[in-house]
Amino acid sequence: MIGRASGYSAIGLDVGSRCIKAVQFARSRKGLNISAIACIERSGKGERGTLLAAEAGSLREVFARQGFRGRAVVLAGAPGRMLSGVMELPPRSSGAPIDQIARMELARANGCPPDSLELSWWELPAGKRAQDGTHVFAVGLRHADAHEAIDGLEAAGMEVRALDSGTLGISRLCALLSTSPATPVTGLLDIGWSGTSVAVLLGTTLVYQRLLPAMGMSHLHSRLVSELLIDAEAAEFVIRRVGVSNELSEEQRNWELLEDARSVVADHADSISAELKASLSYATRRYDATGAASVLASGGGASVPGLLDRVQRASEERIRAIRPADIAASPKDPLAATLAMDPRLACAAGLALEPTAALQLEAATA
Amino acid sequence: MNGVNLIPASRRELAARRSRIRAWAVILAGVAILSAPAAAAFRAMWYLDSGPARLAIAAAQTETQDSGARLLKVRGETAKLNQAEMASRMVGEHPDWSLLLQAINLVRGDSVALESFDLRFTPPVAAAAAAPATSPTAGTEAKPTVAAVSERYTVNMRGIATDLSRVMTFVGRLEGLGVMERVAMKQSRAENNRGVVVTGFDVECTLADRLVAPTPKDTATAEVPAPGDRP
Repeated sequence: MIGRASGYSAIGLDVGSRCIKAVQFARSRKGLNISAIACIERSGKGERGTLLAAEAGSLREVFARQGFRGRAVVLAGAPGRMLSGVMELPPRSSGAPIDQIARMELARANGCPPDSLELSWWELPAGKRAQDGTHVFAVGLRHADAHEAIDGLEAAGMEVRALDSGTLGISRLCALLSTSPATPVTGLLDIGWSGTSVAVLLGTTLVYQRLLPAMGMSHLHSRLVSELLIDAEAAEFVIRRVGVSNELSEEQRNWELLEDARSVVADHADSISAELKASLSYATRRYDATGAASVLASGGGASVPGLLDRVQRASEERIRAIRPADIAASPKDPLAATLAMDPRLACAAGLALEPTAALQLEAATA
Repeated sequence: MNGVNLIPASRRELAARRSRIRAWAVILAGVAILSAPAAAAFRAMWYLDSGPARLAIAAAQTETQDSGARLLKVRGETAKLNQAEMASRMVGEHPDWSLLLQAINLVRGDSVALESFDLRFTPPVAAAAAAPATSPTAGTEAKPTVAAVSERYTVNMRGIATDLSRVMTFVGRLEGLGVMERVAMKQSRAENNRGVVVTGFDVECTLADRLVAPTPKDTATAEVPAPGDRP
């Protein structure tokens, strides 16, 4: 939420496997501006969503240097540690304690004590099939994981205002873009280094989410290294510069392993397409949604040359990358402006938009 | 739903409590900052405004003390005047004993001779102070009332007469004067005076009690002022 007094939002913080992304917005008379944006490479190997103590300690200083204001942070929980699921509960009219039942169900499904996790849930729209019960989408996080994520930042002097889901952060960003009722179904494709997340929004409600650890860019990187027998830097170059794009330089065209590399990347894209298509198909049928679906892609994978085109062709869905600059004016600094166009920072931008502010912005846009 | 907060509730409550404490600290500091000048102004106004009042209070206290001193002085003067009045009354109202002596001499006759004449004065006393009555239910004592104050004179005469009948005649005449309340023949005896046997006698006469006005002292001792009564 953008504070009325300060005019600055909380810092949206997306801790990725390879870099830490942070975005902060400011509101002015002309609208929403990106006041500060940063993408900090992680020195050591860290899990997505979890900061090392040394990283957390230096983060505040880095933020101050990069022009961030305040110390309030909205953090995304580690995707691998988030607990989520769709569950059928008794109807509301029965007077049953739905919150308690949802907690028990999620705890049972994940094998943890019910009182050891923090839970949030929301009701899903009525589906195509007639149902007596209430279908809810529950998201939870174990207290131990939450404390681990927060302790380091608070020890460094930051104030964690909320611990959110990264997918919901991206959905807030999408809510500002896709307001047309003609496309009620929106697919979210977050292609990260450690995994890919596929989610489906019905309107602005998250109705489906699936994490695909084997479809992260690290998996593609490993395949390139192992199948083409190239070193890690070359594989990195293929991912960042070659991809499956046809726009290649003369030097790239003369690379003898070009087609093999493109084939591996294309295969990876096709795998993602298949998962995306299946997910969208399920949601469309489940909720009887009509009209063409649109897909918004984020994460480092969305920047791989030609990857989104390949996925679009394979899945037959309209796909576009989503970036912080799509909803707010870019900063004047060239480096910051470049980062504002990077789909990797979409999640951090969405996290910076806490629900209240996002709804206000949505209403203003409509 | 487009946002959740999975921070543990206990941690959120702790943060909210810290936030409330910080907010209250800021509020209290603000109130203190705002109220300090007001308190200073109020204090200054109090001291400025209290000058005349303090002077008035001091003047009133001084006047009260002076009035008390004057009252004591007046009381002392009143007591002196009362004593002077009593003295002048006692002196001024003293009986003319020459008239009594003339009357006694007149009723004595030729056959009675007086050898001594003793006049004694009994100071005035409260003649009939009502007994204090107690009320069993109220438990309060009724005020003693002073009915009258009387003074008394006693005349003792000693003399001789030719015989006892003359003495009795003398006693009867004394009673006949009307000024004696009581005339008592105390003693009679036979005496030999210069070789002549005569009858000696002692007569005691009590003059009638004379009621006098009670003195302030008597009143003060007889009447117990009620608590709270002002002199």
